Amino acid sequence: MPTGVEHYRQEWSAAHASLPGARVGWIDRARREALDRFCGRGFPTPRDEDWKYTNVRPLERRAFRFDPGPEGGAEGGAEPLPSARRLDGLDAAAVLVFRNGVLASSHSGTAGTVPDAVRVESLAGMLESDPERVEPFLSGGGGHNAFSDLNRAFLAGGAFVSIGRGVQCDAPVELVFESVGESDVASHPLVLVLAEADSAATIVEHHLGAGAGTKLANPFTRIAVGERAAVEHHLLLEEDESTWHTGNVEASVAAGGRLGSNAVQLGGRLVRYGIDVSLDGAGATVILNGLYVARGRQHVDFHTRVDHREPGGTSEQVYKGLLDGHGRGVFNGRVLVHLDAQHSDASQSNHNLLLSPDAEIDTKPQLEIFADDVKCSHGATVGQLDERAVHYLRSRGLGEDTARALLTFGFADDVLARMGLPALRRHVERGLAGALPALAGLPPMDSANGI
Amino acid sequence: MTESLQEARVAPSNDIESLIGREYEQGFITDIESETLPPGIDEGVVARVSEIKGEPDFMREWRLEAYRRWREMKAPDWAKLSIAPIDYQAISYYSAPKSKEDAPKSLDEVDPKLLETYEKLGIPLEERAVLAGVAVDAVFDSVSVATTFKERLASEGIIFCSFSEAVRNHPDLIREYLGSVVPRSDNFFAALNSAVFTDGSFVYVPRGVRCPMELSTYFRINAANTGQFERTLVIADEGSYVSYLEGCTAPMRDENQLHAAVVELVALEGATIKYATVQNWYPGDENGVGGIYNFVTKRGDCRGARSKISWTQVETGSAITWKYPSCVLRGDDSVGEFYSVAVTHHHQQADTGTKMIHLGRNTRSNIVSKGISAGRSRNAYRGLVQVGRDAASARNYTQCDSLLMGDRCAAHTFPYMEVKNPSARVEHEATTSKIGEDQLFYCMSRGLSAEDAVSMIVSGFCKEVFNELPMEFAVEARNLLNVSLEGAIG
Repeated sequence: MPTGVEHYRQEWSAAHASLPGARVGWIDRARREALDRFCGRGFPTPRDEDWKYTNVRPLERRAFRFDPGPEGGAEGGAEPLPSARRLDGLDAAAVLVFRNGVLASSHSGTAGTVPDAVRVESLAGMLESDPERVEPFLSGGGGHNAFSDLNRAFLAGGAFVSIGRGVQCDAPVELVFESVGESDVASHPLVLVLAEADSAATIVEHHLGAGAGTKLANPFTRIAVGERAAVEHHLLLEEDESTWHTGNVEASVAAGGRLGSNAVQLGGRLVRYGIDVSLDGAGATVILNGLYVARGRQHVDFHTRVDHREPGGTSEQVYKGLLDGHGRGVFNGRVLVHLDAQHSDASQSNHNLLLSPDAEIDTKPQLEIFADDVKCSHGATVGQLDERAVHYLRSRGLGEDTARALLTFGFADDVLARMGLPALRRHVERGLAGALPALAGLPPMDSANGI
Repeated sequence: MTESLQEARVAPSNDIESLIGREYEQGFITDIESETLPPGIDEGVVARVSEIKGEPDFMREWRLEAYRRWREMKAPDWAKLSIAPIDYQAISYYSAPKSKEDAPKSLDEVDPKLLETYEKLGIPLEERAVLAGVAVDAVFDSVSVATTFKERLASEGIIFCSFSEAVRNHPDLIREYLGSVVPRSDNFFAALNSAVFTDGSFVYVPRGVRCPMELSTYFRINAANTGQFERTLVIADEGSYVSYLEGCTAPMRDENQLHAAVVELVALEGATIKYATVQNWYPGDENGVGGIYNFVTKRGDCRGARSKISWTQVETGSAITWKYPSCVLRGDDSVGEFYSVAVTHHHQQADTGTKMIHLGRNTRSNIVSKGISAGRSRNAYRGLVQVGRDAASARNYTQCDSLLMGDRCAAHTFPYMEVKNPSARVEHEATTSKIGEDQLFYCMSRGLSAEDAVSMIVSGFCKEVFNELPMEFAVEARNLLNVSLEGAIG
């Protein structure tokens, strides 16, 4: 069986005619162009500057199957993953559950509280019934890297969320992507979020995996924030130990708009997460928060890019990493201030805690500035816990383990607190405590009670 | 602040228009007969360079091997630079002043035209040397023509001579250390240099000796179309100390000149090397025509425990600068430092920074980089801090600031941090800003002209780096900065 680029070309040839919207000219063209780009460029290698620290050769050598299957019902009779793994107390306005990229309608639905001008539905359906609505957002772009091209080439479905002009959707929209199965299976779901002018919405994207099979989860999220609109995007990656996750987020923010991007990664065998934000209008704002955890043999690579294209934009990034075991973390944060994007204010910080002698971190914050009247800064640190802080806690009667656990927890929780979604914070706090031996000494606590 | 304030006051208050129009002061061509090889490079040329220099066989072989490796390599393209393609066959690889055969024993024997050149540069050799207590090994084009203070140094057992002399008189040291820090195939330009380097400086400081004076060399590019390929090797034996200064100017010319130097520093146990550079090569005119291509490989090896290497650089010249003075912190408790001011104006491009490779335990490094961009120039800091698996308790602090003057210039920061040891502590901070209107207003309300105010603010911005320079260089560096940035704000 062929692997690498040739495998995907064959898969595509077999599948593309039956994909949703195959008879729509631009959709077919977008898929073809993306496939050509992907085949022309091939998989990235460590020789590519953007992939210097992340080697996807092992992924390239596998032949992941792409099998979108028909929509509807609980496909394959598979039971949904235990609800304990889902976010508790989210009170979502609408939930869509996808299994290997395919909507599982029986587990999806909306609560009665969704305003009329809010649409949460299957993207596959949109591609058939209303392709014009999504064309401006999907016909171009997407070509950041090999994986976003792959996603576009195999565009088969995902979620479509739109919030009408001036509408405030208070309750979050929950999108759950489960990667399950016993054999090599790939999914390429796409999430499209359109927030029209003066609207507001919160989107929670939860990726989780289960099953012994090696899986490739290759989602792509496109967010368009309209003028003065506000979108909070929460991305929680809890893939299992046999899943490769290569997702990308692409966002644009119009004048006066605001995007909050919160990404937490707790699981996955190799996770490459890329977010690319373009501040397209004057006074646009993006706040990026992220937490990544690598342990065992995990490899986590966070790539961010913010383009300040118009004057008066603000970007603020806080990313933190915990590296344990033989885990390896990579952070690459890039800020570009374009010509004439005067009065831009960009700050970025990346802090990493190495918890084991075999852990590794490679961090590379980048500033590229072409305008002079700007305020830009970045800071990055790598280190251990502050011994003075440990000493202080011990002098207050805490044991060594507890003191270290508390400080490690505090290091991570600091960025979770910035994310402003209590249900997510509680969920991740619990996940962290279970995941890291360094937190074994943690006293029982509940952040809702003020820790 | 007081110091720079005084300086700003005594600075001549020329009006800005005339300053903008001012041309590169050091731009002139000295008319000296040169023996020059025809343009082009092949094994024959490499062997010929070696032959002209009267080198032993091992050197010729070393060069030929470097040449063979260079032929297999490609010019790097990862830097944030746009470089017109360089035709390596159009460059002449050797050019020497005629007076080489009977090398002068003292200043009296030096070609008066050369001395005149130094006069024009404002560095009267003997006077400067005496007043500042500096021994000068002046490289004019590719061959050393004057070496002073040799006896004084010799009495301490210090060897300070041209590289060719060292090859003849100290082949054992050359054999042991040449290429031991920057291997022949390290990178494209280092390989080219290894094949065809013509001359440079050699310093050996014996065990336990503290070099009694600052050592300095003036490099100068002169003959047209002649690439300059210096090779510098500084070895500080156990417990010794040496401070080395390098300063550069070049004549004005419209063709791009290639400069690919290699500097290797070796610090053995407990030794300290301070290496300072003021680089003021011709940057091209305000339309970006001409200027030097400066592709330099500088690396120091802290080979022994408790050794220390400190790089200080003030880069104001060259059309293109590609330079990353680095430290390999091999010895336990060794220390690496990098202090840099890089100024770009008009169409200059600079991609510069450092690498700190922490291998030993308790190694420390400190990086302070100040980039100033004006006009349509591009200025990038590119640095690497690497902490190896065994480098327990390594410590790095990096501070990287950019100052933008004008809305068509660019400033970039590319710090790489690769950490494999949990007890390491690595910190990086970077800021980008412009000179605030309020700062300017404040200074001007105190009676300073706009130009003086800018000069003062820039001096303050660079203070941490200037503090690392020896006195005479610090003064020169400040003046250079003022000249380089004239007309940047007005």
